[in-house]
Order: sequence, then C-alpha cells, then structure tokens
Amino acid sequence: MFRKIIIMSGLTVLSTLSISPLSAYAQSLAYENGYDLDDLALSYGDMSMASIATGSPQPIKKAPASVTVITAEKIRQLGANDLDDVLATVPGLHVSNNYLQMGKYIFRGLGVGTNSEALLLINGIPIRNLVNGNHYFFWGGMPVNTIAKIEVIRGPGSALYGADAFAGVINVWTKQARDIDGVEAGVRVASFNTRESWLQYGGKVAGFDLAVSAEVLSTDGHEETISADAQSAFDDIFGTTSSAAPGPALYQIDSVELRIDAKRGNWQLRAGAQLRDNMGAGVGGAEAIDTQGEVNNHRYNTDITYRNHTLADGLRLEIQASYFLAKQSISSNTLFAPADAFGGDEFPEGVIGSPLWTQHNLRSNLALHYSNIENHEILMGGGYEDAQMDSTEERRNFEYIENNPIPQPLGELMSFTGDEAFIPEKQRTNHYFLLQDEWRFATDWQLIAGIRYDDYSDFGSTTNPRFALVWDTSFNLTSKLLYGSAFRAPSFNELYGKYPSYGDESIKPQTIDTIELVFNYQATTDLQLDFNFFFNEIDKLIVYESDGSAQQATNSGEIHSAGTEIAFHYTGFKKLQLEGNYAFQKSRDQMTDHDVGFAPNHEIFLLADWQVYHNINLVNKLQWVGKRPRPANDQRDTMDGYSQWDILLHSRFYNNKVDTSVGVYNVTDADVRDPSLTSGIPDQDTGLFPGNIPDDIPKAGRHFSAQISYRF
Amino acid sequence: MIFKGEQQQGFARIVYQASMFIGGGRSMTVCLLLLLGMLANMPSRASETLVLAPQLKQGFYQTIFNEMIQGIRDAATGSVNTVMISRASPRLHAEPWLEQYQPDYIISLGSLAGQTYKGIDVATPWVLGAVHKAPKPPQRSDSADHGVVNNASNKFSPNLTVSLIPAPDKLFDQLHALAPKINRIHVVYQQADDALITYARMAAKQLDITLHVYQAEDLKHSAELHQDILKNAKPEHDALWLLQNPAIVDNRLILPRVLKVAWQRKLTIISNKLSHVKHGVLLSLYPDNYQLGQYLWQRAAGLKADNIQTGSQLEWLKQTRLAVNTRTARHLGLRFSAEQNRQIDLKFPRH
Repeated sequence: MFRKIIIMSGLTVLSTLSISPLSAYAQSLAYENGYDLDDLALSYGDMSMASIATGSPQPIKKAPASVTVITAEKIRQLGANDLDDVLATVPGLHVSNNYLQMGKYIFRGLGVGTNSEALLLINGIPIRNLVNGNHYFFWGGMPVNTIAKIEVIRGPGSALYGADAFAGVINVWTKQARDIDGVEAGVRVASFNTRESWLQYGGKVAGFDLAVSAEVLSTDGHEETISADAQSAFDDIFGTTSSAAPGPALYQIDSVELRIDAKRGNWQLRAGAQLRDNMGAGVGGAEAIDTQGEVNNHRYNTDITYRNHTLADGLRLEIQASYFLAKQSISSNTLFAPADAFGGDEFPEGVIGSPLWTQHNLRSNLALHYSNIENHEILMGGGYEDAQMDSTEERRNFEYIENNPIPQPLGELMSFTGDEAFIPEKQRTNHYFLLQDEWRFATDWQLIAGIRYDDYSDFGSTTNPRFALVWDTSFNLTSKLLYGSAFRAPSFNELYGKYPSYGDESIKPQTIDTIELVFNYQATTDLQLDFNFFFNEIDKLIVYESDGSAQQATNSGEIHSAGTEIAFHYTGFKKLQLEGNYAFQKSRDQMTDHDVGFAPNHEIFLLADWQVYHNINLVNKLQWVGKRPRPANDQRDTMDGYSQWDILLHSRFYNNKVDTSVGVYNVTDADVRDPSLTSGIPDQDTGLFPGNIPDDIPKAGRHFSAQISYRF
Repeated sequence: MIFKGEQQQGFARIVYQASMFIGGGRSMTVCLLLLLGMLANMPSRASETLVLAPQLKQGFYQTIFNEMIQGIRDAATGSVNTVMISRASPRLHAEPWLEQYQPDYIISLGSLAGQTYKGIDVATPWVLGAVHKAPKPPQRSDSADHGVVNNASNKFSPNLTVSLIPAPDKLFDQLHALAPKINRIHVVYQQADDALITYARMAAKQLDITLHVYQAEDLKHSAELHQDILKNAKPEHDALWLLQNPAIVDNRLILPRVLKVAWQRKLTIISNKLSHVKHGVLLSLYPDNYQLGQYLWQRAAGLKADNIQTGSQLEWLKQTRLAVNTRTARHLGLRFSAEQNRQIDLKFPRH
C-alpha cells in the first residue's frame, strides 16, 4: 500500500516535470480564452501578488536581516499542524523536539543549554520563561489555525527586540478580523488518537473589527520505543528493573487556544489564552521515562495598542501596554526517577519532584517613526517591563545532601514554598531606549544604524548596536553587509538556583557579535535566490561547571560559528511550484576545540507543489538532516542524520468554502531521532558521558492526518 | 455545477412578512410600504440585485471576488443575491436565476459570468466588472448552437463593462505626482489595445504629457521597439509604460531586458501589472476590489435611473490602489513626502 503511494507520488512529480514545457503554451492560450483567473493573473501577475495585495500592512519595526515570512496559506501548503512543523522548514533554523514538551529552536547551530538563545514572540510580545529563559519546557505546542503570519529573523536582534533576540527571533501574528472574514469551522483527525477542532469568526460588530477564535486539540502523542533511559544505567549498577525502558515517552496533551482581537479606529485590543493540560512529561525531567507525571501550563496575554499614523507630518506613533501571565501546575506528580530507583526501597512511589510557579510580565512600549528629514527615517522607542515570579512551590519526597548526588528520602511528599522552593520568588524590572536611523547616504546605498540600551534591576545594563549597509547592486541584486550584537539575559535559575545547580547573582549576560553578508538575487523573473554567509562570536557563555556532586552557573567559554544559507523559489512552471533551502553551520567551542553538538552541520529542505487539478494540489516535502556531532564530553559516535518525506493532498470545493487536507508524514517510516542530553553516569575510565538515553530520542514514524474545514 | 448563493432578506420583504403575520392584510402592507418608502425617500419596492460571480478554485483570487461582492452588498439599497458560476455550468444560460430572483440590476464579475447572458431582458441594467475587455457580442452561429433565440427582448452584452485595466489618466496622474519631471511616456501596444491607447492619448494631453505609441506585430517586434525606446529615451523626462498584454510584454524576454537597461540608464518604468513592481518597475495601480464593487452597483443604479437599456460602454478602472518599488525610487533619486508615503498602499521590496 505505502509502496504504491510512494511510487504514485514520485510519478506525479515526474509527470509534472515532463509536461511543464507545455505550460507556457497553455498560458498564452488561456489569455485568448479570457478565463477569469487569467484576467486577474494579468493584473496581479501571480497568486502571491494577489495574496500580498489583500494581506496585512507592513509593521512599524523592520529588521535589516535575513527574514523568512510564512503566511497562513503557506502553512496550509506545508501541511503543518503545529508551529514547530512550520519552523522546521526555515533555512538555518533546526527544530529538535527532544525535551519534555518543548521544541528546541536551534538557530545556526546555537542550541546550547535550555534554548534561551531564541526569542519567541506572539503578536510582538515575548513568551519567555523566567525560570529557564526559554519558551517553557511544558510549552505544549501551538496549533496553527489561529496564525495569520510568522516572521523568522535569523541573526541577532537585540537592537530592536532586547533580551534573548540572540541567535534569532520568531514572531507569530494571530489572525485579525480581515484574515478570517466570516465564520470558519474545522476538524482534524490524525494518528496517535489526535483530535482537533476549531471555530473562528471575523467581521464587523458594533463598529469593531472583531476576530474571535477557539481551537481545541487532544492527542496521545507518538509511542516510539526508547530502548534505554537514564534509569537503565542505575538498574545495571544496582541490579534492579525500575526503568520504564524499553517503552515509549509520554507526549499526551489536552490543548485549548483562545484568541480575541478587536480593532476600532486607532485602537486595538487583543487577548489570548494558551491552556495546555495533562501534558505527559515526554522523556522525563531527568530523561528517565516518567510514566506518571502530568503537567498543566496555562498562559494568558492581553494588550492594548494605540497607533496613530497621522499624528504630525511624517510622524507615526505606536503605544502598547501588555500583560502576560503564565502558571505551571500539575495534575499528577512528576517523577525524576521511578520507584526504587537507587537500589533500595526508599522511594516506593518514585522520586517525586514537581516545580510549580506563576509568572507575571507587565510591559509598556512606545515607538515613534519619523520620516520628514530628507534621506532619513528615524525610529525611536522606549519601554518598561516588570517581571515577577510568585506562588513558587516545590513538591518533593527527597532532599539533597551536599557532596552526594543521590537524592535522599524525606519519607513523605512535602511542599516547600517561597524561599524554600526550587527557586525564590524574585522580581526583575527592565527599562530600555532604542534609536534607529535608515540613512540613504548615496544613490543605491543605505546605512541602517540602530542601538538599544537595556537596564535590568538584577544583572545590570547592556548596550547593543546594529548596522546594516545595503547596496542595491543592480536591478536584480541587493547586497547587504550586517553587523549586530545581542545578549541573552541570565535566567532566574542561573542567578538564584539552589543545590545541586547553583545560580550566581554576579553572572553577566551572554553576548554574541555577528557579521553577515546577504545577497538577494532575482536570477530570472521566475527564480529568486537568497544566500548569506555569517560568522558569530559568542562570549561570556553561561554554562554550568560541575565539581562532581554539584554544578555552578558561570560565564565561561566562547563559541565561534560560521555558515551559509541558500534558498531558492521557482515559479516558472504554471502548475508546479518549487522551493528549497540548504543550510550549513559549524559551531566550535573554543575551550574544547570541539563542535558544540546537538545540531546538524548540513540541512536541506525541498518542496514541490503540483496543481493536479484546478482545486487539488499535491505537495511533496523532503527534509534532510545531516549528521549531528556530539559535544566534547559526549562519548557517543556522531549521530546519524535522517530524511523525512511527507506527502500532502489539499483540495478546496464549493466556492472555496470547503477545504480539505490529507497528509502522510514520514512516508518511508524512517528512523528519525533527536539527540538526548549529554549526561548520565560517566565512564569510569574516560570520565566521558554516554548520554542519558544512549540511542537518542525517537520521533514519530509514519503517521497520518486528515482535516476538513468549512467557511460560512 | 451551479448553486445558489446566500440570499439577503430585503427590509421591505421583512416588513411585508411581519405585517402579514400581524394580520393587516395586503392592502395594509402596501400602505405601510408606501409610507416607509416616502419616509425613507426610497423606491416603494426595494431593489433586487443579482450578482453572477465565478466559482474559483484558488483562494486568493476568490478573496478578490469576495471583496467585490462585499462592496456591492454594502452599496446596494435592496437585497443582493449571489450566484456562483463554474466552468462546468451550462454556458450562456442565466434564465434560472433571472426567474428565481427577478432582479432589477445584474452585476456580472469575471468573463465567465459575462458570457452568461441568455435570458437577460433588455430593460434590466447589466454591468460587468473584473474583466479586461468587454465581451464580444455573440455570433449568429454561436447563438444558434446554444439555442439562443436572437430576439429583441434578449440582451447579449452588458450596458457597461468596467475593465481591470487601470485608467491611464490615473496612472499618469500618479506618475506625475511621484516623478514630476517626466513629461514624455512611451508605450508599445498591439492593435487589440487600440481603445486603451486612444483613451491614453487624451489623458496624456490633459496632463501636458506627450505620449509616444509604437504598434508591435509580435513579441520579437516588441523586443526591437523596446530596445529602441530604451536606447533613445532621456532619463530625466522619459518614462516607459508596460501594458498587461503578454503578447508584447512577457516575463522572460522583454521584462528582464527592460529592467536591466532601465536600471543602468536610470529610466522610469511604469506598468499596468502589479507583479512588475516586485521585479523593479517604479509603480503600478491595482484594483481596490471593495470600492470597485460599490462602484459597479452605483453604476447599475445609475443606468436604471437614466432608463438606459441599450448600448455597451467600456470604462477603465478608476477604483485603484498604488504599489511602488521604493528600491527603484531610491535608485531614480525620487524623494517622497510623508503624505505621498502614506498614499502608497503596497511597497516593494517587502523586507
């Protein structure tokens, strides 16, 4: 059956290529026939033009960088069901779903530690976990039906976005009234008992442009077998059988996504909720399979924005106030290790450790854009943020005794709050100012210079500049030389963490300096090529140094990395669209002169979208991930790469009111794995680590998804 | 496949049904409607508009038609019924919809709907939009093949066609605003573009712009003509205007050459095609679909008010939005005021 699908799909691509020369002839015939599409095509040029012309206006902040923009229509074409599926197709961004319920966003090979080098924004507002600096270990994914557009900016962005816009920025824009324009209802069923449904409304109500959407998803998650986990090594030592391996990790989740967006005149009010419940602990907090733990992560956001583009001649104003609340709780205690983990019977219910907390972020921002000085466009801005953790609590049935890495039983499950919890309740405030000038200093030359000053109440101040020299080299080539610096703020764990992972309040932000050369080349009217070369220097790397029984956060080490990204987009065939990209990076830890690990050196993405019939498209998608080197202290061989092939069939019926998609993912059932952490029990002779999960973490094999939506 | 679109209940119909329910009877209803009509200064019977639109498979293009339909709905004073027509629909036949809705106005969108005319009464104003040119009147043999009886009461072509091609006066006006030194425009055209060129000559005259026209036989001839224009044009005063006609301006032969030489010589290029702006043409106008929808209804109502039953007019598109390539503008040394910047609806490059 699957062989048949594969062969048929391959044949369709071949047959498309073979008939393509006819398409030019067909095009000229169509003009004579005067069909509606062709009348519109002659006015707009192509479908992407029609999309742009009816789409969103450009934002006030424009980053001179390597940017990828993915629209809702593109998300549909990709057959993506989650934000991570979309991001995995962006050149220079590797997504590794290997830890708890969070995809690691590894920009240009920089995925060290908890993944706080990537900044995720929703409608321009950061989703940043104060404890670890990432977008939450129990992020739980983001369904895509509420997404209007995703902008991915590679390279440092602190001059505009501040902290953690370090290796890259992902900005997700949710749908407004005009994006929905009516009512849409949809359902999706997929492998692993996945059920998803959504309902959206966009229109005018009482003078407001109103968008409301709700999306509900539940899944059991895939059940690929993990042959051995972190507990397996202890079982070998103690002669026990406590580990749940061989067995699957637990990726079940109940997810609700709610959004409201109301706009009237210059005012816009948005509110959203991302409710993730009963999330399985993936491979477990210590990469020992946790068959019991279930975590809830609720995130709420609201913002009010005022925009005035006619305040004075050449002056645009944007003021925003926003509030973000995140709360992590549990529905079943999470386990660091299973029952009787360390050879005795002290932990009959397992080693329980559940961290809980609530986070509040109150932000206000002001941006002014002034364009009335000849040859200059100036952006000024400033803002204030108050970030606070409260209701911190730790439920555990163990304690650590200094100089002993083995948890000791408390005898019962106890609750520790406030200063006794895993992290004290702390507050951080930050104010910033930014200034950017786009200066056209000569014909075809532009210099964009920007600087942002950030002052934090806990770790001090930092200033980050950015320069972009843009040369319109010829009618079809633009060349850019970019320089930027950025910083990653130390997380609360890195500042205030306790035994066995001590924080250090004197720690400084990790910094990056990047030089990049970018070329945008329109080779022919049908072929767009974008390529870049970059070099990064990372300094004051925040790492944990271990003394055997405990570890201490410190600024130590440097990483140098370099690479290139090449992307193409070809529209020369009338019914076939081709695009793809290749990314190469090499990132070396200067202390060990070794690759930093976890990310592939080479990665390729290819997509062929064939319009089989006027309302039916067949999409073939191939993701090739090269070998992934191990970090210096990991004794395992370089990790094998993989190829994942997806086939998607999209169709629209009844005046585009009914939209269906069917997808087969990982068609060849390839063995796809992401690296496990470098840890475990060190080898007695070499002192090197085998990794908690020696064979790494498997991802889903062949799986299916089918969805249908209806627009009223 | 044809199916019925949603039907908007007219206000008058609701009043009628309500009064029947109350039990006032027909005479009372008529009085009530007359009274309401007088009070609201509206016709005593709310107008019925029938919109014939294509059923397309590609989302963005459908969005364009939906925006036009929304414009019609918002402009219409009575009810609006929409019928979506696909390529598989029986060609020419409009009778089922005419019988069902008894329209006062007919607005067709797209050439497919423009060909669906059988049964349209001479007395009913018929306006066509979202096409390039007015449809040819059917030949006698065509009509016979499709069973159309050529009698005096059937209308074969719309009273008014509003083209998707931007009105040359609007295009030149926009060029004049953004590049005021340009006073000469060159254009290569084919015989099929005669009507547009005739209009463009008048438009140019009014703006004190000299229009130089060059008729091309085919693509090869067009390439030669473009080459000559590009060679001899004076960058300070001359502009080249590209038409949408792919038989004289194509994406593979003409456009890349034009863009290359224009960049080298700093020549101003304008176009009727939006995607040309993405590739480096200075400016283009593209349809404001919502406003176009509103305009189509207003024109249909105007025809009715003026009791125009015959004739077939063609108008160029004036409900337009402006797209500018700011990279090219910089290269040409153009500087725009804040107000001019605000008036640009779409800027390229996008990032």
